[in-house]
Amino acid sequence: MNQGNISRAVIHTGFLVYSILCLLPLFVVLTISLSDEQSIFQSGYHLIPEKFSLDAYAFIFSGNSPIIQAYGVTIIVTLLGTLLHLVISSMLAYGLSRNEVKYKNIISFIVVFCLLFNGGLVPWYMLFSKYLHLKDTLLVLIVPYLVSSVNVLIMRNFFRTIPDSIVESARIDGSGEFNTFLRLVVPLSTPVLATIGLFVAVFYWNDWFTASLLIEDGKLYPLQFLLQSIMNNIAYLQANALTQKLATSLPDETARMATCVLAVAPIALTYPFLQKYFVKGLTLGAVKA
Amino acid sequence: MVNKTKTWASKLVLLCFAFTIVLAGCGKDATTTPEPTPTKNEDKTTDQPKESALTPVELTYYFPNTPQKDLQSVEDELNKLVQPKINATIKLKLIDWGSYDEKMNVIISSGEPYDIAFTSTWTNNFYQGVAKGAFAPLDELIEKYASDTKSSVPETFWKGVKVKGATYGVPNFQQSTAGYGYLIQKSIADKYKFDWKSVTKLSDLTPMLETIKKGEPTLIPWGYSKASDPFLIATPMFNLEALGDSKTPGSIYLNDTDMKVVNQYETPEFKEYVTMMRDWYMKGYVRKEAPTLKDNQADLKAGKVAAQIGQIDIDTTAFEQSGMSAPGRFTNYNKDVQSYDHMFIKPLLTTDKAAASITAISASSPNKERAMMFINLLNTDKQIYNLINWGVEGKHYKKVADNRIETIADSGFKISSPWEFGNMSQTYYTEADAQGAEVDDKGNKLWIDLNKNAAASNALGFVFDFTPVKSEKANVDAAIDELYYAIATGSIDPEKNLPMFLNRLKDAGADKIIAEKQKQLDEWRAANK
Amino acid sequence: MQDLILQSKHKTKKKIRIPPFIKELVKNKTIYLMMLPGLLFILIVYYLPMIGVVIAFQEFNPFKGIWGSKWVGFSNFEFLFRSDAVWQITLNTIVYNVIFMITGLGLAMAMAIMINEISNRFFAGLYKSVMLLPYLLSWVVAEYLLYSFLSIDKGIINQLLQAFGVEPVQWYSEPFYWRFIMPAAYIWKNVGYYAVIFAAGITSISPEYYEAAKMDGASKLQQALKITVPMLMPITITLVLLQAGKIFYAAFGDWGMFYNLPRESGVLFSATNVIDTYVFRALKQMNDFGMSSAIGLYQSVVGFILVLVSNWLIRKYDRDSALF
Repeated sequence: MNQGNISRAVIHTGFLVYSILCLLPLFVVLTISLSDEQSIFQSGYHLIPEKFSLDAYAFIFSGNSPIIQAYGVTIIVTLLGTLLHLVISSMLAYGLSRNEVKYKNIISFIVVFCLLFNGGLVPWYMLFSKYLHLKDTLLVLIVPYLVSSVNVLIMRNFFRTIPDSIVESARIDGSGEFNTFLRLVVPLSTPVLATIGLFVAVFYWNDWFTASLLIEDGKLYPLQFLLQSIMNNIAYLQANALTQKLATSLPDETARMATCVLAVAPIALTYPFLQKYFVKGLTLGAVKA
Repeated sequence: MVNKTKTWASKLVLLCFAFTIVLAGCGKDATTTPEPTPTKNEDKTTDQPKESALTPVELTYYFPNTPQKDLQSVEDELNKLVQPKINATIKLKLIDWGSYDEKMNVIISSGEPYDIAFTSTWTNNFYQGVAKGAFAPLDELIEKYASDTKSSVPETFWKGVKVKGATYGVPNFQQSTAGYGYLIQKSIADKYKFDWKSVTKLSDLTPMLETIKKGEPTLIPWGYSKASDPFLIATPMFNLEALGDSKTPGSIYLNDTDMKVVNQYETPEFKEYVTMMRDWYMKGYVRKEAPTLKDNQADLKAGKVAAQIGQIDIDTTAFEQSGMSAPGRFTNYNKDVQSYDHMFIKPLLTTDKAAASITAISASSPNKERAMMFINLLNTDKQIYNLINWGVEGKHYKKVADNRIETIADSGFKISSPWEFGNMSQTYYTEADAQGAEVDDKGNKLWIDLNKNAAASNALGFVFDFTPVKSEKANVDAAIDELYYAIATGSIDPEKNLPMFLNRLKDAGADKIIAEKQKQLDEWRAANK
Repeated sequence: MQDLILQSKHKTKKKIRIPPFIKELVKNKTIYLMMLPGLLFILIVYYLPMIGVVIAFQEFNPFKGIWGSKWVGFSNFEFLFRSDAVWQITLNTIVYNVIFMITGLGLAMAMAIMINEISNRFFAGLYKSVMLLPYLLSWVVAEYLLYSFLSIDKGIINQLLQAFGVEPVQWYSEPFYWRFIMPAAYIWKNVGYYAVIFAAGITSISPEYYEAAKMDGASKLQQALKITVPMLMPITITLVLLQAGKIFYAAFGDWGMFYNLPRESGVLFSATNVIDTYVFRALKQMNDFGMSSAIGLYQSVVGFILVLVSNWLIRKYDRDSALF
C-alpha cells in the first residue's frame, strides 16, 4: 500500500515539475507579448510584465494587414485538410493492415520509399503551379499534404491491433468491407485517429511555407504566413535607413512574442477539450451487429 | 440500415476517387510535355510590335514589401491612369520581404512567365539572375521606349547594370551611395566636450571610448552587431573595395590602378583592425557577447549605445549647412536619443551600391515592349509614380503642400518605399522627412547631387561569376561564418587565431577564388578599355 | 461466389487464364478501392517530383529545363566532400540522432506508461496536454526563450549563478555545454509528440492481460515491462525505422534547432554544426539547386540503405513489424 502511495506521489511530482518546464516558456512568451516595449529593453525579460501594454496586439490587428481574413482562411484549411487527410490516409492504412491483401508489402514499400527520396523544391513547385494549376487557390494550401507516409504507417500499426476475430465475425454477418471499416474499425480507433488528426491539424495550422511560394493573392494569406511577414516587415523597416524613423514606434520583441501567442493559443486552448476522443475505444467494447 | 450506409459510404469513396482522378488527369496530361515554355517566348521577342494598334495586355509586376490590405484600390487607380497611355493593365504582385528572395528564385527556376520584377544585390540577386538568363537584355527597348528614363539616371549607375556589355535592368535612381563614419550620442559628446568632428579614423575614437567607459557605466561605449560589422560594411574605411560581396576573399585596394586582387583578411589593415578590436574588447568597450549578436536593435532602442559605426550619406554637418534640422541617426531607433553623425570616408559608388535597386524585365515575359513602356512611366510620370508609392489621394494620404503629403493612419495602404519603383526624385515629401525639406526640393537636392557626383570606383560594373569556384566558395564561406566574428570583435586573441583563420581559408580554397577573381577582373578590364 | 463473379465477367470466354494479379484485385476490390485515393495521391505528389532528383547531377539552368541542362556527374557533390568539416558535421549529425532516438523514444514510452497509471482523469489529461505544448512552438521562439536563460548579462541562469557567488558562464562561447543542451532541447520539444502516440497505443492493449497479470501477483513495474513494452514494440519499431531512414538528416529533418538555438555563434560549431546547417550556410548565397539537390540525395541514399538493412533484420525477428 505504501509503495503505491509513494510511487504515485513520485509520479505526480515528476509530471508537475515537467509540466512547469513546458508551461513556463509559454508563460514567458505571453508575458513579453503583454509588456511595454521599452521596459523590455531596459530591464530584460521578466515573469510578470513590468509595464503592461497591449501595443503589440494593437499593432498586429491594426489597419493595414488582413489578419481577420487570415484567421478565416487558416481555419477552413485546417478543418477541411484534417478531415480529408484522415479519410484518405486511414483508408490506405486499413488496406495495408489486412493480411488478406496480398500486395500490401509492395504498396507499403511504395509508401515508405518516397519518405526517403524527394526531388527537391523546384519540381514540387512546378507540379503545383505549372501542371496542376493550383497556384493562388485555397486548394493548394490543402492538397499537398493530404497523405503522409508516416501517419499511414502509424495508423496501419494500430489497425493491426484490432483482433481479426472481430473483423471476421462482422464479415460473417454479411457486412461489406467498407461498412466494417466505417462502423467497426473507426470507432475502435478513435485514439489513433484523434492523435493523427491532432498532428495534422497542428501542421496545417502552422504551415506558412506553402503560402510563401504558392499564394500571391492577399485575400488567401493564411495566418502563420501573415504573422511571419509582419515580423519580417518590422525587421525590414528597421534595417532600411529610409524607413527607420517609422520603425521606432513599432513594437518589436513584444510583437514577435505576440505573433507566437496568436499562433499557438488556438491550438493550445482547443486541444484539452478534445481529450475525450483520446480515451480507450476498446472499452466501449460493443461489436455492432 | 446497411443499405443507407452502403450508398453513403460509396458516395464518399467515389468522391475521394473522383477527386484524385481529376488530379491524376491534370497531372498525367502534363507529364507528356515536360518542357517549360520559355523557348516559345524567345521567338516572340524578335517580333516587331505594331506601332499603330496596341493590343490590350496585362503585365505582372513582382516586388517585395509588407502585405497591404488595400492593394486592390491602388491597383485599380493605377490602371485607370496607365491604360489610356499604353493600353496595358498592371497586376501588382506584392510579396512579403521574407519570402521574396526564395519565391522569385523558384519562379525563375521553374521558368514561369511574368513581366517585371524588382531585383537588387540583396534580394532576388540581379547578377545571379543575369547569369541564369532570367532577365531580358534591354538596350534596344530602352532606346525605343525609355529614352527619358535613360537621361534622368546618371551614366555611372547604368554601368552597374551592364553585364558583358549588355544592359539587363533599369536602375531606380535613389539614395544609393553612402560614405562611412560614426555616430555618437549628442548628450555624451556634449557632456565630455568631445571634438567629434575631428575624427578621421576609428582608432581616433579610443580615447573617447575610454572616457565613456569610465564615466557612463550604464552605456555600451561601442555598439556592435554582426549586421553592422565595420570591416564588412565599411570596406573603404580600410582602404579596400569589395569585389562582389565583402565576405568572400578577393578585394582590391581603393586607388590601385593595377587592380590587383588581394585576400582582405591577409592585409595589414585587417590585422591592425582586429588588434585594435582586441584592445577594445578587453577594455570592455564592446559587449562580451558581440560575436553572437545578430543585431543590436534592442540596445539601440533602449538608448544604451554611446557610439557606433555609421553608413552615412548626409551627415550632421551637411544638414546644418543646408539649413535643415539634424537629429542624427540614433533617432531612428529611439526618438529621444539624438546623435552627431560624422562622415570621414567620402562616398564611393561601387557596383553593389549602384545595383541596390533595379527594375528588370523577365526573359520569359511575353510583352517586353509594353513592360518597358510601363517602366518608363514609373520613372517619368510623377502622378503614376506617387500613386504606386503612397496610394490614392484622400484615401491613403492627404496633401498639405504642393509636393508634401501626410499619410493617413490605418488606411490599408502604406508601403514607404519610394526607392523601389523608379526615380526617387519624383517622390512627395512625407511626415518622415525633415521640416522644410520640401521647400525648393531641398531634401531631394542633397542626395541627388551626392549621387550624381559620387566618385565611381575603378571596378564599377565588374561582377564576379563564382560558378567556376563554387565548391571553394561554399567551404570558404562556411569557414568564415565559423571564425570571422570571433576574431573581428576581438573576443579571441588575434596573435594565435588570425594565422589559424588564414590557414583555414587557404585550406578551404581561398587562393583559388582570388586567382579566379583576378582572372575575371583582368578580362573585364581588357574588354572595357 | 468468386467463380460466379469471374464467370459473369467473362461470359463468352471459356477457361481463360486470369492472371493472379487481377484475381487478387477483384477478390479484395473494396479494399483496393479504399486504398486507391491515398495511393494515387502519393504517386502524384511524391513520386512525380522525384524526377527532379536528376538535378543533383546537372548544372541546372531553368531556361533549358531538366532535359536541357548540362550533365556534370558528381561535381555537385564535391564541395561537401572536399570540405575540412565533413567528418565533424557527419559525426555530429549521426551521434546526436542516435542519442535523440534512444532518449526521445525511451523517455516518451516511460512517460506514456506513467501517465496511463494515473487514475485521476483530470490530471492525466492535463499532463498530456501540457507535454505537447512545446511541440507547437517553433525553434525561432525557442531560441528567444533559451536566450533569456543563457544570455551573459541578462540571462536568468547567470543571474542565479551570480546570486550564489559563482562566476557567470559565457554559454554561447563554450561548445561543451551544448552537447547536453541539444539533447535536452530535442527532448523538451518532441517527447510530448511521441508520448501521445505511445499513450494511444497503450489504450488499445486489452485490459485482460493486466487482469491476468495482477492475479498472478505481478507488480506494476513487472506489468509494464512484460506486457506494455512488448505490446508497444511494433509501433516502436516502426518509429525507429522511420527515424533510421532520416539518420543523415539532422534531428531527423527538424534541423532548425541546430541553426536557431546557438544563434549562429561560430565558436560553437564544433558541437552544433551538422550536415544541414553546414549546407544551408554554404549555399545560402548561391541559390544553386544542383548542389542542394545533391546533398539531399546523399542524405537520402544513406538513410535508405540503413532502412533496407534494418527492415530486413526486423523481418527475421517479427515479420509484421517490418515496414515492408
